[in-house]
Amino acid sequence: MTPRPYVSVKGISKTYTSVRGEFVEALSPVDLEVYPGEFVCLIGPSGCGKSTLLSIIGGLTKADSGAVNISGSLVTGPMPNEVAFVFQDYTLLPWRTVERNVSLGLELKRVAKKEREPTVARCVALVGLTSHAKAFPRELSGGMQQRVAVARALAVDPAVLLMDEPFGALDEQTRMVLGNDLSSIVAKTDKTTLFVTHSLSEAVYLADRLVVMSASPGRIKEIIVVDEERPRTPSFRTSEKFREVHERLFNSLRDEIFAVGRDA
Amino acid sequence: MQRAAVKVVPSRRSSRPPAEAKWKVRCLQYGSLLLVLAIWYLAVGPGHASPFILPSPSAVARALPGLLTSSETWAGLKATGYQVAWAFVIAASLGLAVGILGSRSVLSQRAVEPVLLYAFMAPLILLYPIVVLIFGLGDSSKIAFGVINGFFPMALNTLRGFAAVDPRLLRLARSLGATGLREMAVFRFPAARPMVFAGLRNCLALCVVAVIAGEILGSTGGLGYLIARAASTLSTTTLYGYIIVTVALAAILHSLLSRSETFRDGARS
Repeated sequence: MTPRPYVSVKGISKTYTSVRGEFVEALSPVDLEVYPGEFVCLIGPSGCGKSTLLSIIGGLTKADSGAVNISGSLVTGPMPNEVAFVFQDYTLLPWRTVERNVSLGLELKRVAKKEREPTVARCVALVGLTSHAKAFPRELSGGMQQRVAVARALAVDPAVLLMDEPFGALDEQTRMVLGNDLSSIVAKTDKTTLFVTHSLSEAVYLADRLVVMSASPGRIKEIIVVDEERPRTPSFRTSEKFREVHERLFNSLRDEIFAVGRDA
Repeated sequence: MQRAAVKVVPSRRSSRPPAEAKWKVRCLQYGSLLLVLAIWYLAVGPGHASPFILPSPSAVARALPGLLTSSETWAGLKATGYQVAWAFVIAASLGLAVGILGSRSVLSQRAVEPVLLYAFMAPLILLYPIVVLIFGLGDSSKIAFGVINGFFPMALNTLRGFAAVDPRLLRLARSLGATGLREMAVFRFPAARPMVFAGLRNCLALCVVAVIAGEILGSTGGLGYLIARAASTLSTTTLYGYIIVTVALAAILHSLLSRSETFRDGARS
């Protein structure tokens, strides 16, 4: 018997009006089911609506039609107890130290300071920033800032992590290190994760399932299963299985990428 | 997750210049002060400016102790301080309220900002006779005039500060479920804080100017009144003494404000 999906997306569509007054179909009806503890990567060309879909699932954007259910309840707005975001641009509060950025979600949930402290310390340690707990964001590298954002998301202990190109602004090597770390953290904490990325190898390395999307209109083209235990080790990156999945993903994406690329 | 720990200097304010540069800055500051004094000394030498226009620095220095111990000076300081304090508190609160309200939507922002800007740039001193007609020659006309002058820079800076809050921070606030006052206290206000303090500094400066100008133009007490009286009786040495007292008052008020700004820079935990 298959388990019940934790996140279920049914018939979600979204149309924007562009600056020139044209209608842009960001998402034509999309269906997706994500199971508890699953790590799903959304990948596709620019404009395929993957970020929009993530934003709708998290309740930050209203869909034109369709419904999102998380843990059986209909999403009508942000659900800070259930869902945490990690954005591409980190979005740390520059006037707060690392630990006070991490405690932000708990403060907003009115968790008492005494209860917050151990949780914050644990999450800061989880992302390896204990020695920088009192530092300000501007004193950290981009990779470290994104670790803070991950710790902030984990601190509220959400069931669902929504990550919108979290490593998009980082260099290839930092991405790999953070990808490794994220993989083990998520496995340890047992989160259901939706992860938007442009990077094929990042997606293959991290995901249980790859959701390949195509643009104009944004829709799901194909879902590829990565049949490999998590957390994965760096040696997975050079394995035959990795190469096979990567190739299949590339073939699936190739037409989409070049179709969009010609318009650019 | 163990990476080579990069050594981070746990400085509260990285905007602070390094220690080595600090004494250079001080040297330049005190050096230019000394330069002004030197020019003053040279200007009052024989065959130069008349002591009725420019008394020698030493004559002013000799007159200062007498001024500082006279009850008239202290009464003047008290009156001016009282007026400035009230004008500042009222102007700052009104300006903060109008600035925040004006920043609530793009429409109100575009409607309110130019009005505040033009009022800020207008020669508001023209209104002083009307203020006196309404409030008389006592404290209230100086306070009202101070409020009129201090309000616009406060409202303008507050409006710009709150309108410029990074929308990404507000998206984060929304995702964390922060709304209303919590969103204001945790996200919007700290983000707008530097601009609010810029507004407070301008507000204070203009309150002082407006109150002193009001006292000079027509009043029965305060430092401005003492300055005007000393000028009209050609007591130039006393006049310069009062000017120094007034500048000192303004400097003290501004340093109090700066202290309150740096007071909680990242210090709350």
